[in-house]
Amino acid sequence: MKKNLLLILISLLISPSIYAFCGFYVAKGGADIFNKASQVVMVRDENRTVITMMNDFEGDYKNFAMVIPVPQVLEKSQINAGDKTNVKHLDDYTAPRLVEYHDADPCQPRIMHKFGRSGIGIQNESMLAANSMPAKKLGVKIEAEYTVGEYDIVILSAKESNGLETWLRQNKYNVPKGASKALKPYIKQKMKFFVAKVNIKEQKKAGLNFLRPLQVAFESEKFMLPIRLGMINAKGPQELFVYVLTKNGRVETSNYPNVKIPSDLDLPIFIKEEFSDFYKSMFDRQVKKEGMKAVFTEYFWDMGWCDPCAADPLSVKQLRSLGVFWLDEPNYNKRRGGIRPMPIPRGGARNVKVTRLHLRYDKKTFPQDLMFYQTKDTKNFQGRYILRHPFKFKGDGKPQCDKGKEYVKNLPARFEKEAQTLAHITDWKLKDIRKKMKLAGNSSSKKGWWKKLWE
Amino acid sequence: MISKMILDIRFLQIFVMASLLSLGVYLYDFTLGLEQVILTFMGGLLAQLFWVKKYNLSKASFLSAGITCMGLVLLLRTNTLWLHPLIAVLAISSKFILQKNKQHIFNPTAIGLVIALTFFSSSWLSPGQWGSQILLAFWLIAIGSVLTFRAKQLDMAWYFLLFYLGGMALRNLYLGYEVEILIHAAKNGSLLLFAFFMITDPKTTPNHKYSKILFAFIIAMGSLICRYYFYFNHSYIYCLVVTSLFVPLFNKKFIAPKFQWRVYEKKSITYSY
Repeated sequence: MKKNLLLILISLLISPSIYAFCGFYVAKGGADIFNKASQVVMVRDENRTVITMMNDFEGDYKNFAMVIPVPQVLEKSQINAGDKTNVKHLDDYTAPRLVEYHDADPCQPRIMHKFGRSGIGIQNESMLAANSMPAKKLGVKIEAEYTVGEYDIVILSAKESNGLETWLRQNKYNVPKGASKALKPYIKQKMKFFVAKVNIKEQKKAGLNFLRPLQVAFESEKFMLPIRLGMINAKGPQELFVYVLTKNGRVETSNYPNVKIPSDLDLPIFIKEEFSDFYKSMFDRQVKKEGMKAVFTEYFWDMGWCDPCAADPLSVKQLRSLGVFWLDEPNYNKRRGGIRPMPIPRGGARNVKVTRLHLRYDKKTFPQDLMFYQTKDTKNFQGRYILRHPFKFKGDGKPQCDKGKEYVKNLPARFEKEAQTLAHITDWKLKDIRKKMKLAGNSSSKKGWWKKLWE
Repeated sequence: MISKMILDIRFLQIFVMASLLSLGVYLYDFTLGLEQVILTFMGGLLAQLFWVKKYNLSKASFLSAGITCMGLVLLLRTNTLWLHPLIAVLAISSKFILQKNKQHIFNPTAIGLVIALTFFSSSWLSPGQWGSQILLAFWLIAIGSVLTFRAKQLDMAWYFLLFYLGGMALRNLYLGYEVEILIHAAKNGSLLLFAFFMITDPKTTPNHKYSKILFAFIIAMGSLICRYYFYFNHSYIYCLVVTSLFVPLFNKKFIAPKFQWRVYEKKSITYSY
């Protein structure tokens, strides 16, 4: 029986994705948000790099395999099967969020607000359909073989790409057509290939019914993520989330434009119930606007705090498990005493920053691997959307003071503005938004009554 | 006087750069504040005023200072308000302090950027900020050509791009990359901005044709080596600054008349800076 090969290079992931909400008002759900999404956590300082790749592969584990170019032959201790809950937690922590405010009684001014919290988590998944002379003759050398957790890992070096492709076929990996062409540049740059498949026996022994994310730690001057290999047999565009953990500044790509997602906008209250649809539609619209050629920054913040928090900050233990190797430096623990779960004032020196990058790509719009660059930018950024609940007057629902009357008079214009903002940043039609808000185009009824005619 | 000044191509150059800036802020979210832009110009123009008064020079040299400021706001990024004006002052002052044979050595924008990146940890450049919009590239090339052609410096930009992209093409061919990758690199706004607005600066590049070719070749090869073998970001800016040190040597070897900014009339005003 042929083995399928998961040629991911980080994201060869063709899969239905699963999302889940966290927060107090939305049920945990299982609907798809982003299809074909994959998640990678990258920890980087100077030339030290730790990469965690999520594999929520849900088919027959015999069919799972993946190939990743790596800069050097890795030792067994440089490879680990990690904890997927950490990636999920990091995703929740950095996801776009909603903030809710309740307007104060305009007749009795005082400040009263609370925020709700909601993050969107995206899990991903991976797989790849795919299809066997002695290794030496083919120019392929098995540099090392390990079993790490539930994975059997082979590290190969190759002299030429056709030989590697043949070797993979002979060893019953279903390599997609065109693989050798994509493999060639990595071979010429003397990179090695990390090939992983599932060891069913070990997996059963460990009592696991899922795959843990694979983690690799290595040193490389190149701050990059290879995505080309994953595009060989991709059908349609793919989605990728990269969470980069660094000591200093925001990370951006140096070979593609970087764009921040729209944020800090007042939106209609109903999106609370449809936040995941909103996020998806908003991202679709932004991708279209940039011609699917940009990398979006969705979050950049110190790992020590958040405001508001879509999930609690990760603990030192979790961060270390994701590969943040500098956290054991004595100064860190002494000064910080562990990461606090609550927001703490700005200004203090923290030394773990997270950048969440989100991109949709295909071979045409992203021909090159992602090259990263750590800027010195320390300005926080988050995808944050504001819901303002109007004040409900007691009794007959009518205001008793002039200020209150003025407040009520201004509400329709405010709602209309929220509707227009929403229509502007998503694919949703203004007409439908107004309907959902029960606005019936209030503001356009007197002035500009014709606006509705040809919408 | 004014009608003559309008003919100066540097007005057009400033106009092009300002359009790029607005386009960048509008399309690509440049993380640049209006205060930063204003402060840069204040710093740069005041520094120019100081040196012009000190040496009693022509006022028209403010045009070049404007171009330097524009280059800085287009490329330099920081979270602070003080860095842009400080760098603008240093960049402009470098023209008057760092001289050889009464000619400044470094392109002020390039030296300003190198100073910022070397000595100030709060600064960065965003090489990916331009994206690869083909229209933008086309616009840059088209207008850049006109500008440089008029300034008789078209050759410098093209020599550099030829050597740089040629070198990259050879590397890609060897590694087996598709041609799309080269096209993608050629559409990089920072590269084109460098080629058409920095390396073409007539005051800090050699005068003779052969030395220009050699100068462009050294910078192109140097930047490729620094980029691919030493993983240096923004390698061309550093290479330009280092290679600029040898311009007097080039000019000694290949003798050609010195460049002067001119208005397109016989009775032209010439300025030293």
